[in-house]
Amino acid sequence: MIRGVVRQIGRDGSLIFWEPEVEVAVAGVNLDFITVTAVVDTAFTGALALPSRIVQELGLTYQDERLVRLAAGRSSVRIYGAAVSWFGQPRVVPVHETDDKPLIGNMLLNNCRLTIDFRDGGDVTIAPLSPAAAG
Amino acid sequence: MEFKKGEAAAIGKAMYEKIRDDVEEHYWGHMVIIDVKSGDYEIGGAGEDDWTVTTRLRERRPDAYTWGELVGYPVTASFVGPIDPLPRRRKERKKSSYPPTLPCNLALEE
Repeated sequence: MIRGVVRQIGRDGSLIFWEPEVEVAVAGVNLDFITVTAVVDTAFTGALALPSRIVQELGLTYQDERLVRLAAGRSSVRIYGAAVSWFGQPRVVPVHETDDKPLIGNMLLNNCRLTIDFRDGGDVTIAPLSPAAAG
Repeated sequence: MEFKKGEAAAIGKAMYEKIRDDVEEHYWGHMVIIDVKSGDYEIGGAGEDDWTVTTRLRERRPDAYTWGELVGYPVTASFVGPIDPLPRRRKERKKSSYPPTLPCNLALEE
């Protein structure tokens, strides 16, 4: 099981929102894993989104572009293949490069149970529903 | 070969148009990955993700620069919720048989 925490953003009269976060290990072809804190985002249909800074740190090279839908409209973005440690197993998934924080999307959450205690400091858990999700 | 911003997208889309009618008829919801350098391409199986198909194309085209299409959809992924499919195109032409006869390469005329 993957565990995380809900983080409350904003206080003192500013707009408050909450982000369910988990830590995941990601790696490029050399399989040198680094741990990143990713927001669980069920509105993201892909597997993993990473900011350019982490893409560079992983040494991923840019050879693939795809059209995606963002809040601002359609845009061509770079994608990469990277390994993510998912329930302890390395799994190669498409990674979308973004300007924003790391995201975990539906493609990784498929065949999992996601629970969120939706308050500041609340528990987040992701567990496999079947052996297929863990593999 | 390097591509300027938007260049690979324009080539990829033009190449995809060559097979779009046929794949929309027979491979709705599958990924199509195109090497915009060579015109070689790979159609994914049902439910196969983008990177699995890209990796298979790259096995025979190690230096591929790829563009991808999700057949029947305007984008391959969304950061803002579900993706609505494209409207089905009304077919004036005769229905093609399955499997469709597709070109083996999508390279554009010079």
